[in-house]
Amino acid sequence: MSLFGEVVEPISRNIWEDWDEIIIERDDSNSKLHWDNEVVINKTIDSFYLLDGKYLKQFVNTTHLQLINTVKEVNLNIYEIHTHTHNKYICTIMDYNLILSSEIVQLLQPYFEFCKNVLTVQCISMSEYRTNQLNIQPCLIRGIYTSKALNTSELDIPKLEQPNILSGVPAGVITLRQHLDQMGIALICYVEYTEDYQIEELQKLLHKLEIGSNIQKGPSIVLNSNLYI
Amino acid sequence: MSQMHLWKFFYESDLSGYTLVIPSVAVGNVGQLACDLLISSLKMKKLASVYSPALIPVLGYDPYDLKSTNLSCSCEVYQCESKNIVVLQIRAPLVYKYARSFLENVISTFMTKQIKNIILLTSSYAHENKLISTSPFRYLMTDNCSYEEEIKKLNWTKHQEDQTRLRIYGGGFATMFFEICKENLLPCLILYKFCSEGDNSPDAYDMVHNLNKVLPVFNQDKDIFSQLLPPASWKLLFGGPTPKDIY
Repeated sequence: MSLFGEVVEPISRNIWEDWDEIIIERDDSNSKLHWDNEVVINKTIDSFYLLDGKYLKQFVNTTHLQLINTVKEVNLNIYEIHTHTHNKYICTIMDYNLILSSEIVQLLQPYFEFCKNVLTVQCISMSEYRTNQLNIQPCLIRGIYTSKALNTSELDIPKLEQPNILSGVPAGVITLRQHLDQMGIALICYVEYTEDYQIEELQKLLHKLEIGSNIQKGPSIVLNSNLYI
Repeated sequence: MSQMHLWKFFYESDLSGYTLVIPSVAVGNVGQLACDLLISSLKMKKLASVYSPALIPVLGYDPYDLKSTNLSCSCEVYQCESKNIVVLQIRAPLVYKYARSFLENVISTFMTKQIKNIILLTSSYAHENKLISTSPFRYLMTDNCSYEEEIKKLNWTKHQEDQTRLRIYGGGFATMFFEICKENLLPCLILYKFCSEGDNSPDAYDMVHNLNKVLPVFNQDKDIFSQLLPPASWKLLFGGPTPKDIY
């Protein structure tokens, strides 16, 4: 796979706010994101899965899940799954402004107080993966583990090599878990096309995490239909 | 509000008499790159990490040690006991809405630790430099700052304040931080360089070279550039190797 000629700018340069133009306190400075429903958690959450991105959201068939809370501005939804043995929450988020990341993590924080394990999954374009190797597989999965999860995790996924980094809500969630000495794992899937729905490795991973029982055969978008050639 | 900013200290340390070096996330990331050079070259120890909603979250493994399994986040404090300096490395832009609260928290935390003074490293747009025949570096300091004598000897050019409001264009939170230092009577020196976006690692070397003139952390009798060690994370800063298929 060749990435030659692709302009890869360091992430920090794409998102910083130009403070020179901020003279007066902006009107939106006090407006905060908030949940549509009151946050009520009266039991331990065994596993909390955060799926970041449009593509991952399509993986989960939410029709059989119980929607318990939502923040429409940032497309954040939390679903609950009851099984006989486990109590799981699945959170999906997509198309949010990176500047709101830490605020979104603040919203999620009450859920983490009752949570044993947090696992985030994010798809990132392969062009952002920094490596010395010339031949890269079309899909690579790497992990970031909090100190508590490092030796206890059953996942056999290699750690994310430096200088690669993770940003956004998953990074905030795992940073917070690390600060609170709690379990947390971030999985980063480097894929050639983030909108591709036939990524075998990712399907296997979500199956292993038991999120994949509701996997759709394919996303229902026009581009994938046989309507156009 | 201050409870929003979580500080996690890894060990106890007396910071009285220390100088705090802090970068502002600015054009070309010069301040951050200079702090990276300081941390890497002085083999500084991680003293604390900070979690705050004011910081856009970024996370990875230790950027100074490729074999490490320790995590590194948006904001961390590094200490060099032999040189009496601490560096607050900031790896992501601040969110304007929470910035003042965070910077006030930073200053109050280090004031309780009784640090001596603060040096803030930043940068400004190259096109803002009106005196192009002079050095691209400028400085700005509070009245109670102890570096006045050294700076006079060095004949550095002072920041031009041509407006009622203090501004360093492209300098990020530098001026806001300076105002907070002034309010708290904490001595603060801002050192900045005019530059453009690109490969700004040479600007970072220049910045450390100039910093060393007022804060001698490296041997001044030896060539400073031979004493600086770029961190492992600087590799692949602009992508991987060129694929062989193109030849």
